[in-house]
Amino acid sequence: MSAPAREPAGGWVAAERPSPGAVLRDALGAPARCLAARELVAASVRRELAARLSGTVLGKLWPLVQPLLVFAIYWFVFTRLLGFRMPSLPPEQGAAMGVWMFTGVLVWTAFGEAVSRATHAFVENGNLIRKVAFPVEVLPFNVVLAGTATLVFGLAAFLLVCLVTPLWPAPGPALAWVPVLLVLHVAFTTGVAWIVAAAHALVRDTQHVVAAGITVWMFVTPVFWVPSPEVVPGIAEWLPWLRLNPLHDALYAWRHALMSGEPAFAFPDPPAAAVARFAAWSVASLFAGAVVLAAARRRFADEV
Amino acid sequence: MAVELALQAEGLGKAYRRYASNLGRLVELATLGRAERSQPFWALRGVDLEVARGAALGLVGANGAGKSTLLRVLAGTTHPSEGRYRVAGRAAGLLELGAGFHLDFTGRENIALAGMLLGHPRRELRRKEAEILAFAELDEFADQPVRTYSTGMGMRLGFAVATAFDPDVLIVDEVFAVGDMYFQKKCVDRLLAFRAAGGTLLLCSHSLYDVRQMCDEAVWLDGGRVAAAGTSVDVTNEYAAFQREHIEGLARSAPAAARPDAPRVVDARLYAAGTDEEVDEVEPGRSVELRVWYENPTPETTPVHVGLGVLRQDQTLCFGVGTHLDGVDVPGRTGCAVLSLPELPLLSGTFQLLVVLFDGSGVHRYQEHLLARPLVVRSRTKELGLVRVPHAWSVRAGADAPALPASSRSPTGSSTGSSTGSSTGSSTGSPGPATGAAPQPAEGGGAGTS
Repeated sequence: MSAPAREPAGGWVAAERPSPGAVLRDALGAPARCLAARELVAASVRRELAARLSGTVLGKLWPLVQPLLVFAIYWFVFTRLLGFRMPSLPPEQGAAMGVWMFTGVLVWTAFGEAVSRATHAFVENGNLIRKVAFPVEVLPFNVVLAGTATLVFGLAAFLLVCLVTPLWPAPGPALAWVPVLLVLHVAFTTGVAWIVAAAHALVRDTQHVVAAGITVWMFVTPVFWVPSPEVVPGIAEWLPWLRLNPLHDALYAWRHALMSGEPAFAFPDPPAAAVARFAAWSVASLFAGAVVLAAARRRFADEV
Repeated sequence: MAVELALQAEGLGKAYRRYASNLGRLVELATLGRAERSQPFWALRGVDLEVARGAALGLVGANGAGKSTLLRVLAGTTHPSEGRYRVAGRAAGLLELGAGFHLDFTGRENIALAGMLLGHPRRELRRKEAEILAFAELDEFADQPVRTYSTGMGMRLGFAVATAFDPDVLIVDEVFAVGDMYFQKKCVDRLLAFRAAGGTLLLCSHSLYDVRQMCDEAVWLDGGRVAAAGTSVDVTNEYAAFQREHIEGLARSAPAAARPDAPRVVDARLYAAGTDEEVDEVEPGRSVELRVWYENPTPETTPVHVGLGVLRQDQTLCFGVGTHLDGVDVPGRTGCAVLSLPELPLLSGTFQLLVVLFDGSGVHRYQEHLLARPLVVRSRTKELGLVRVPHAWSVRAGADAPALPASSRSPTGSSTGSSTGSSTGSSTGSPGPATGAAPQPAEGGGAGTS
């Protein structure tokens, strides 16, 4: 059934390649279409999450338990076993490296996994796209939201640990950044997801490119390392380049909020600038993704 | 145009791209299509359609003729490659039953998901849920996973969901042909009710009967193009005639324009015998005559013969006659061959009249000309079968009856017992003790047909 929002009733649908203006209008309408399909999106995300938990004993506890386990492993391996320490820390911040890595992995995974899975969003639902007329942009969006839900559970687990253990001080007012960062995370990831999903529908090499790209991206992003000359000597000359990575700013802002800006040497600047830069990246990503989708969408049904 | 159109297409075409290699695909994409590396395969081309609001259009054609492609384009799941179309109001495409169902989720959940996929708000779904479950007869199973459903249950649910939301235009691709008779009847009833409520229907089916029953108009697609368009009866007849030729492996005669010198049938019509009154509906026993006007530019070098084949709708040839079979000449550059059929012995049915122009040997066919309207015979008697054979009954009882043949009187050996039994069974059913069971099926068959 043609979704009412997509084609004005009684309007001609023509074969001609859409003009740049039409692509632009189509692209700018993408967020509105996702919003209009919110019930479908909500149901799909619930289904996706339910499918991961169906048949398990712990059920709804798993999204909480899993990050707790990851947290425990990072803390144990890096802080206790390997003794990774940031220099000149007060004793109560001894777990800094474990917390640093955990927060990095948490945010990175929400992004990386969503992008990897979204790559297949159109191809896997090929039969649906061929047989039912609906706004296809919701498919990658669903994947991103499901990944974001995991992120939210991870954040909850982290706060729980901070509150009930002396491992790390619980974040204060800085937590106010979290909703903003979540919105930006969804926007940025959705844009990237749209691009890779569209590309994979047209060229099946995309999944391999994405897999390799995600790995490289993870290591140039400060997930496991601290972008500070005090921890990684000689990094100063690379920092201007490394900061071109949108996720560099994203992780800085996330950690600033979650770790309350401690240890201070790792957070030399207030988070607002990083948030602003990431917000710009997010808008750009969302827009680029919507344009790619608007230009390529008419071919999906023939290619998937 | 005074008629309000629900659906309109102009020069609609759909090409699928074929790439010699995946590298070519990449090159074309990287240059945004400027460096073309694909060969278009036209699944559909130059299709013009106009469907009035409340009308029903049937699509017929062989597999791969472009029917499904046309429906997909009009349903909005794939984009046209040329031309344009428009749909007035909300169109619902029923291209595959149960597309979008998830096997692990219950019937109820799938109704919600599929409905939302089709763009319906949740509250509307709640309102329709009971109706959908009732139509699909799945009330008891609403909370079972769809995985546990039988094929038929899944199909019922799919059909119920897709047709539940009162679209303006319903686009149906051969979906109910797969179910059992009961399911098919339900679907057909629902489609008829949809039409009665003013809905516009676009139906693709291999069942010419369904197309005739449900559609006023039809389009025959062949090789992606419109081969014929018109009333559903005309188009399905034409398509059926083509299919028959195709099956028999006969080449359709080239159009006269291609060979201006070839003999041709100018026209052929059926009249009440001896009058100028054209007929297309008669009672058995009516006398009719067929007039075939022909043209033969070179009668000296290409003598011709005229033949008529009468076919029932299942393509059974009821009878075929020809001037070459009866030793009649068909002379001159132009003329009219009149075939008298006194007291037409056909019983009830719809018959196609196929006029054939043969060469002098009666082997090569210059042209086959199907009469525009089939001949409908309406019988008032209760005779059964295809033809009315001249017949008379006389019954004599007792000693006046003809003597029973000697072979039936004396019982024969067991080796020939069964054949004897069946022959007595098919006669008047005399009680032969050795073959007591044989008369029974014969009587049962007789009871069934009367």
